[in-house]
Amino acid sequence: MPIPKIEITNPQALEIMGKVKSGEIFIPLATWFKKSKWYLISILIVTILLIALVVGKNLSEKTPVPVFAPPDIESITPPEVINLKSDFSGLKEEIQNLNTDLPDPFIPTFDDNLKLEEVVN
Amino acid sequence: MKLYTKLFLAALTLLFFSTATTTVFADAKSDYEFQYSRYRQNYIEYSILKKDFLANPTLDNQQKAVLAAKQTLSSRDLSKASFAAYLLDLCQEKQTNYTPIKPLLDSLRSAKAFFLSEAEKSKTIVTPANLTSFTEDYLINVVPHNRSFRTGIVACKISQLVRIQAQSKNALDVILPKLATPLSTPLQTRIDDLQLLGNKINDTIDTFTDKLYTEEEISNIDNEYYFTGKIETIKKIQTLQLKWIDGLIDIDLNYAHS
Repeated sequence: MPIPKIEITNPQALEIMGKVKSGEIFIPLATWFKKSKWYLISILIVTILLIALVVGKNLSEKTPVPVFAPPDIESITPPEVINLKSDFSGLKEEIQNLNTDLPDPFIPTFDDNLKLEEVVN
Repeated sequence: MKLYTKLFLAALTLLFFSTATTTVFADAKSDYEFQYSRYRQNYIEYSILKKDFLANPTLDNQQKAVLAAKQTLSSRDLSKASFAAYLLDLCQEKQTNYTPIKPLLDSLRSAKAFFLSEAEKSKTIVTPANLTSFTEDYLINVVPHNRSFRTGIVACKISQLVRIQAQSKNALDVILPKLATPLSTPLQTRIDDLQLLGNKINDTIDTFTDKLYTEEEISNIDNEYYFTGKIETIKKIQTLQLKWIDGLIDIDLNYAHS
């Protein structure tokens, strides 16, 4: 199916097309770029830095952090002590608990000299 | 039905009284503590009333003082009797039947009887002269009975040591059949050593007990240092007994348990 040829007759469109062809339409844009050149460069640098940071972070997360631990020292495991208890430990405790102090029990004091007269000591 | 009820009640009453009697006689220590606290109370009262009488010798004050003295005498001798009973109880609960201390236990029994009799006798006191006469007689007769407390305390300690010896011997008798025969030379040596040490301890206890009856010891009974030397001997015997039991436990753990 043949494509119908479109002929532009609108004078305003023809004017715009003429400006595009001559490049006149891009002059204000080029002027604006010239004016904002340093802004644009700054934004670009910041963007590049941000991208670098994001990329660096992603890379660091993927790489495991090396752990620096002291070398293993050979540890001595204490041997398992089996506490055998003798049937006669009770007798030993009885001997240990024997009170060797005397008098045990303490002898109470009594007054053997009860009189109604004055007692001369 | 009534008969059964009566029988049941009678049995309950009998049970109650038998239990109560056992409890009362079982605790000689609490009886002694009760009697001694009574004596202390009475003695304070007697001291105050005697002071009042000496300061103001009226007939009323005299009667009050004599009455207080009577109560104090009675509680004093009951305290002493209960102290003797307490010591006897302590010595006899070990059930050693160690005959060398028998004279010391007999002295305690005699003291108990004497103090009970004196407590009864003090009830007849009416006048200050009666009180003086009672006290003069008492001071003459009480000396050997007061001394029996000191020797009785040593006898109780000996009784404890002898009981440990008996238990130790039983322990060795229990272990010996458990050991594998024939006994190895080192094990036989250990057993021989234990028996030797056991005999040495027995001899030390015998010597210690015999020494209590020597004239020198008897003359030192009232000395304030009477117990000092005995404490040393008892400690020495205790150390030997500990050494003995350590040896026995070693054999038990290393030979009888394997």
